[in-house]
Amino acid sequence: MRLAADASAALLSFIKDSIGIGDAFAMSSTVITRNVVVRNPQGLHARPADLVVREASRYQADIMLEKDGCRVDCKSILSLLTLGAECGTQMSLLAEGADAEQAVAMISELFDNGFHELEQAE
Amino acid sequence: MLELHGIPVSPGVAIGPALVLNREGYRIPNCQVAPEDVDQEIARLRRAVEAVSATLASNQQNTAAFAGDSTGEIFAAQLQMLHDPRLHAELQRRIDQGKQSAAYAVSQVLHRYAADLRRLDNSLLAQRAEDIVDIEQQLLQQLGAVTRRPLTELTEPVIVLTHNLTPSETANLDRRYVRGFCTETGGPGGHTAIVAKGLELPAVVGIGEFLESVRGATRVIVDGDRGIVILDPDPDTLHRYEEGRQRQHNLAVRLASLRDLPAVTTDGVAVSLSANIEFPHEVAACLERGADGIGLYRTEFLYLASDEEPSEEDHYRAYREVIEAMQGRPVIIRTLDLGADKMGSRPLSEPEPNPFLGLRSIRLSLKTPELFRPQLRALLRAAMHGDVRIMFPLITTLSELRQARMLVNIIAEDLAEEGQPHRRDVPIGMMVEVPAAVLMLDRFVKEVDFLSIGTNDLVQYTLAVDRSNVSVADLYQSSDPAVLRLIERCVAVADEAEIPLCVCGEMSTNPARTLLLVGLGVRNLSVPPHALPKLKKAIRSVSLAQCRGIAERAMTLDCARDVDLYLLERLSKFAPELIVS
Repeated sequence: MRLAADASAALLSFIKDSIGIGDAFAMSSTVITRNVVVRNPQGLHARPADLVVREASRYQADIMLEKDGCRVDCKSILSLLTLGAECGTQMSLLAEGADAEQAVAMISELFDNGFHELEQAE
Repeated sequence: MLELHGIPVSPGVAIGPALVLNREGYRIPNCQVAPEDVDQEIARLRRAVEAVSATLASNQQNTAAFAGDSTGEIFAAQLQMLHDPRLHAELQRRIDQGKQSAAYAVSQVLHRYAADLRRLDNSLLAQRAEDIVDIEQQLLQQLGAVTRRPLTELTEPVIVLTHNLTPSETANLDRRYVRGFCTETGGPGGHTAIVAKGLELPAVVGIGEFLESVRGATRVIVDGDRGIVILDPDPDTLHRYEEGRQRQHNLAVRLASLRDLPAVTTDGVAVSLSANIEFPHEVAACLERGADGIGLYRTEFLYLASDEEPSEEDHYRAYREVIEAMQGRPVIIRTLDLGADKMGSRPLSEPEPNPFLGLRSIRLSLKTPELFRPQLRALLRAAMHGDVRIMFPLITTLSELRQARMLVNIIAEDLAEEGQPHRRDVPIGMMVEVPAAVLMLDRFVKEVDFLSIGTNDLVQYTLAVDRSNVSVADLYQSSDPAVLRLIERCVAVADEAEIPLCVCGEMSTNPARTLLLVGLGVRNLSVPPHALPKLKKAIRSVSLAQCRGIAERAMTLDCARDVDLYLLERLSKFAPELIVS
């Protein structure tokens, strides 16, 4: 877990450097933040990650998920999967940009609904 | 031109185009693009992504129609991965700034994502890692960089450069096309090395990490005599090696004329030369080189070369094939020597901290009757067809030998009861490969019909060196004076008891050491078939008195290096022809 988190963090900072976001993001004062919890039993696996990416991609805002100090882009399914977030994991959802507020509201709703997998589990 | 150094494990020189495989066994694509081709390379990547995207989308539709939406979602996730913006940012950067080929960038980046997922210890996500590898493979195929099973789809001669080859992978190499191989891992005396020798494929192992630095090398020279691998040789080097190869070829042709002559010294002392084999098909090579018999048939390769456990009938068929092909010449069949570095598809023992001191070889056979019984049954049945002798490996104590012999008796009784044709009085011998057995040899000789010194393990256990461990491989020296003293003692005990003694390890493959062994009193040698002509030439070039003089002097030396240098000097005096560079 630790190794993967480190690797993802390194990868993320590297990507940020290469695309030129990151610093502006970190320093911005209009970052919207909300805590989310993974509620569905199977965790943030491929289907939920796919839902998050689809939703996130509808917004202009930069949207990130942070787990144990490791931030990943919500528009990148590969990065989301490498978080390895299991049921019960707490994370911060952060967004910055014009439509940040709505993005955070819609994505955190997906988490709250357990990505519509709760009904199936029962 | 780039020269790499490793451990020479199978002699000969091979020259040919490189087939570079990465850790997972995929072909590593040529890696660099010229600056002016960067845009074109990015366009190529885009087309590949579109093609794979179309395939995934149609997979998604077909699967959803057939198996429901939720199954189709697997492909939806794969599509999402394929179009991941972070992925494309990095691929583009690698091609644009790193001048990497699209194929190389794809393989590097997707492999890292897959590895990250596998490390998460989450079975659901580990499966997604396979989805990523699947996308990688599809992209690489679109980019023309990969075949699904590069080693089984060869159409032209190649030299394989890879991280590691297991004994069974080596055994299954397509010998029509594979000319030689080099690996990052491995050591001398390992079983991959033994198989390579059996297949007469020049090989260099234990090179250390080098695959990543192979930037699309086109031509490779594998020098299995010196342990050198040369990538993209310059014309001079290539010319030099081609000449050397021609000289080797000429020597082989000259030695072939000795085939039907006996291996006798100039003063008429005969030495019996037998061959070591792993597979029945090697018998042809033995006969071609005039082997007096099979001195060591390593039956565990029946396991190692196959994914399925061999049945009694599989054993029987393989033994009978060898025995009949040898037309009455003696065939010494060694019972299973599994465990430690030789594992079949099914693990036969728990993982062990010290496998070479653990449950291996005869110990494993005695503890696993379902493994041992079918083999012994097959042996006694096959013994009807020729001169067969049974040999037990790694015997350390008298009680192991007695247990094994008792089992043979029980099985003979079973076969008699069942009315199965078999032979009861098969001669039984043991390998001498543990110092304890050498120390107790005066007792052992009363209970066996013959002895065979297995120098590979004897060296390993005497010098306390794991022969497959690259970091200590240089300490593994067959000519160490301690080993020579043990051999000297074995000869004395065997002579006193008047039972035959053979030396069958890799040590005797070297004609210089043959002079020493003959001088020490060894009269039976068993070596890989390719070594037979050289040994015969060496023996026919000296007298027994000369060999004795060599042995006497060698036994006064202090270390393996001095012994080997001295022996080489002697060989160059008596049989200069054999010193071919």
